Amino acid sequence: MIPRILNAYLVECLKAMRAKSTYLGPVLAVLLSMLAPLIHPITDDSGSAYAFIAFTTPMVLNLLGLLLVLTFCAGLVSSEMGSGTIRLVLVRPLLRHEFLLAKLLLGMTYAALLTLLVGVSTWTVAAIQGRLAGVVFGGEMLHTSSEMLKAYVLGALLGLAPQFAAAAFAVMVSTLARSTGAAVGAAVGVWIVCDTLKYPLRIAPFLFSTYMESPWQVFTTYCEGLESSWTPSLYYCLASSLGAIVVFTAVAVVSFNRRNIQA
Amino acid sequence: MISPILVLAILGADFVQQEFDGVIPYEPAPYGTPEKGKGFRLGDFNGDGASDVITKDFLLLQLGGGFPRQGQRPLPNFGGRAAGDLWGQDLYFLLSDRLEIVRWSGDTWQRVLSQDMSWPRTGLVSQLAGSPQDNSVSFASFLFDVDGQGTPEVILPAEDGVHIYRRNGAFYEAAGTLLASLPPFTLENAGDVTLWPQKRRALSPPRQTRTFSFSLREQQVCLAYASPVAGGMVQHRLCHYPVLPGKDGFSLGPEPALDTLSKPVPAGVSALFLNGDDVIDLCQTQVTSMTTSTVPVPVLDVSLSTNGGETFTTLRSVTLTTTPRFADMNGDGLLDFIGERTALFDGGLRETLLRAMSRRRVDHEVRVHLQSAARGFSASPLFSHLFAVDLDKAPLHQSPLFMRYTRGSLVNMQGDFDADGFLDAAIQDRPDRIAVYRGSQSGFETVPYAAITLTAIESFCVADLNADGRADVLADAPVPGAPDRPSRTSIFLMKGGAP
Amino acid sequence: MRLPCVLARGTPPSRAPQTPVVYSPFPFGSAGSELDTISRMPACVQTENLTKCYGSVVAVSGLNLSVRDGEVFGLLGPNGAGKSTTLCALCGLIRPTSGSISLFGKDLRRNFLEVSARMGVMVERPAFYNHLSAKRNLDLLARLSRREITVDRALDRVGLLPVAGKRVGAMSHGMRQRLGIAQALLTEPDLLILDEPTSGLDVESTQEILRLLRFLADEAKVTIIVSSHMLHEVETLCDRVAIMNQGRLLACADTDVLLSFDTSQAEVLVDAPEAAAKRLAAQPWVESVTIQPGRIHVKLQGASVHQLTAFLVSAGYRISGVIPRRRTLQDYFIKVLNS
Repeated sequence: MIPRILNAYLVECLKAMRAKSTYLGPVLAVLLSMLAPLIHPITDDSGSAYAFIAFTTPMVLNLLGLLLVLTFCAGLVSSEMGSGTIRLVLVRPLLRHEFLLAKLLLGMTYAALLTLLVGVSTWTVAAIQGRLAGVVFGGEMLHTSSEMLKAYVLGALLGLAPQFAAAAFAVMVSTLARSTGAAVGAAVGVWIVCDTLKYPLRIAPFLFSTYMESPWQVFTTYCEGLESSWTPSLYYCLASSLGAIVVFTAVAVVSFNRRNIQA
Repeated sequence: MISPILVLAILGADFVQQEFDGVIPYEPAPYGTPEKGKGFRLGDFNGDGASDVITKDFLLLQLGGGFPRQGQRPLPNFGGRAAGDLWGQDLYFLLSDRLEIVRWSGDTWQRVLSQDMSWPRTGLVSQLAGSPQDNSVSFASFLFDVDGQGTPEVILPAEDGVHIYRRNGAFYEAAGTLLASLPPFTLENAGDVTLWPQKRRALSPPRQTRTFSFSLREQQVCLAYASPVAGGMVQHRLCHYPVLPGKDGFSLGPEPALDTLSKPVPAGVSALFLNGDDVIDLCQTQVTSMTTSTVPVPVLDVSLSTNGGETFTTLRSVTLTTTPRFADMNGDGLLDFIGERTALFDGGLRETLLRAMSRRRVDHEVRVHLQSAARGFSASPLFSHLFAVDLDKAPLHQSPLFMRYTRGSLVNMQGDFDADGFLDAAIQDRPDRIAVYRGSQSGFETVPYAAITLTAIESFCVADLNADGRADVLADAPVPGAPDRPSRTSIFLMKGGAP
Repeated sequence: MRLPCVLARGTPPSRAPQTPVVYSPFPFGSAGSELDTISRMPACVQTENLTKCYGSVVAVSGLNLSVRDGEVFGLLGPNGAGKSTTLCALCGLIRPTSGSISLFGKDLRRNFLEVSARMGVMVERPAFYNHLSAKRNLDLLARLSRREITVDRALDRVGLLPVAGKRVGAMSHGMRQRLGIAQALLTEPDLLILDEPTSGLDVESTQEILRLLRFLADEAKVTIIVSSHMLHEVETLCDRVAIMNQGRLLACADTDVLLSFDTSQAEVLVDAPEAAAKRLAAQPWVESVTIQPGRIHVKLQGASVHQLTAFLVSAGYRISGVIPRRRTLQDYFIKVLNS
């Protein structure tokens, strides 16, 4: 099964790479990262460049990036469904859940790529305009540059968990919708509705969307010149994201397997 | 989950409610002071050994362990606005032109003294001017036994110094103005100047300022002020001058009994008293916002030094309040720092907006940083505790409860409700409830020790009203069924419960 | 086995000699009884009680179908008959409500990977990734099939090799249709399922495609299931046809039998049509006679064409030709539907 999934994933990657729309999101994210100094200027202070990174990365990833991941992933299955190309694929020696997992992998790759690009562009801008020599407070080196980099990389890696969950959510919606527009609208709409109602309904602690920024807290507090430790919200973040990925994927697989593919 | 009510029933701790027709104008205890409340005074007026309460309108006699209606007596009317202070069983009232002293005796107010006075017109007295119809009373602190003779002197800070009036026989008389010891004026930058044409040339002299802290402790005047030193820094100085009684009045000793200097510190650092030693304690508060967040998260950075500026410990609170909160949590005489973290801004811009629009509940973390005589404030908290506060409406609606939350009024850490020597937390965690969480070295308990339920509590205050060692609660709430009437204060006396 | 890439243009090749027919398709018996016989034969495609419902709408009802190895099987029926649903179910795109499908003797659902690897499908309007070229489209599909496949060969078969680099979005409907067939042929399948394969093609392209399909069936022994509205194409291409209506299989028959001569009717080229018609009409074994210029059309009742010819010759008429009437698929189709 795994070779088939990887093969399908490769095919999906090739398809995505050939579509211009794939590049729109990453370009936007990189542009926003590079223009972020206009909102959050970088000064000569020791922590300013790091503060810029801590400000920009979660902002771009959790506001624009999230929207991009939702939009991209919501179109993954629904676009094939709408255009009819799915009929070409599903008659090949490939099981439906394998196809779906390949799509999900592609969505996750997209999210990871966005994180990577935003990370690289923000660090580049910070390195050009500021100093990345560690966080110094009162003449004392609180966190060295390598410690900061490690905290960032760890935050970025852990930050992929809720992004992946968002991708799984969008792919699930994508399998339920008939067209790309409907899927994107439904994914974003359901997200907004859930987000709006999650506090009145008291379900916020169980939703991964509540913890989108939790993985960045260590890097952020390091930037503020403070000591930090992993707080429970991070564990909630990982647990709820993992749970969401499993649930959304399972729902997507079940619904997609039962779905009739007909014009 | 074990019902809090069940827990309360098992422990046997409860409040006994005493209703009171009127309002006790208490104020939340100010930060940085161990004072419990300002709007009332406690004292044993009828000599029965039980603590009574005096408010701006009434004397509340404690009868049978409570403050029943039949124990409420109105205050005397002096025909003008008055500032009151209590000394023993005597109530001193300062009016704009006289001093009145009354005492509760034989179920009525007996006038002890009524003396016309010529007070300095600035300072406290300037606030007492008004029409004779305005006979409101407010409480102030102006009595102090400067000479240690057991009779209080009237201390009135004014623009020209601190005026002292002492009792001589049956009357009070002016007994000097403590001025010589005050710190020198500081010249600020010159004001506007006109240089030409030469006929109109005008030079403005620099402004003179003098900022200092003046307090009376025992028979000493404690003076703290900052002097500029090189590099834009300041040096704080603490002087204790002995107050010398003389025939013509009080004067300060020529040499300070104590004269200590802090290290040069930045100009924003202020001096304060966080313990009983003679070393200057320093505090710098800085209200900033997190530079790393897309939301302007308000941050209160408090840098504290208990060794005269040798070392500072910076403690950060994420809070909407702008002043630090101190309380002697473990009763060792050293004020401890209460750090706070509101969860209003957790999770970035999106989550903050969502919560602001749709979440009534806010998580509020309290962190207790103990002060030790040797090491100052601990950088890491002794414990932290997360309280959930129901704000009635989402923050976006700016409900009164939310506004009080932003002022820090929903969390009170001034009372020891179980008399175990460790302060407890009284939290208004719902519009209609104040819950008391017992505190100990290991933290606050997770279920309330006692709770007060009152419709739409508007404000509350903690004080040991009946002097039984257990803190009690005063709470204001509208009168049920009469929304047009002013709110009514209820007294909740802590009863029962094993510490 | 490699197949020829380019077919000579011209008339479609005639069908290969048919395998013996072991059941009698005509006159029509019940489809069920016919298939009881068929089901005992080795079949490439077999459905048993295949039913597909969409809510309360029954698209296919209790379909029992058997397609033999190497035959070209036509599925006929009016719009909404359930042809496309059947084809989609056969290639796994639609999940049957009940019943079973076996391809190559194996259950489709349980052995989908194995079965789909031997199958080429073009159902409904072929859709491709419009932003990619024809070759890139087939490349990707070939990768999914995980076989060493020469995409150019498939393109060449349908005559699209010269435009292999053209973006699919810029192709005409006919070219897309041919590309659809190319993708179905990509893996050189043992079973081809084609839904309206010549839809939108011009006459010449249609002939080419039909020739190609016939060639695949004859030479490569590819089993082909085709649905079409074009009865004459089905006549030309298919070895056997099934007629569906309202989700039910109405009839199934060998095309050779359907298209055999009808000896109860004949066209007679005679020197005096009016007189001959008059004489014939008086005969009890003649059901009807229709006069046409230079000939008469005679419908016989229990007599043979030999009897008719002998009668006219004995009556002194000069006959230049007697043509028994050939049956058409259209006749069969209409008759089945009307019945």
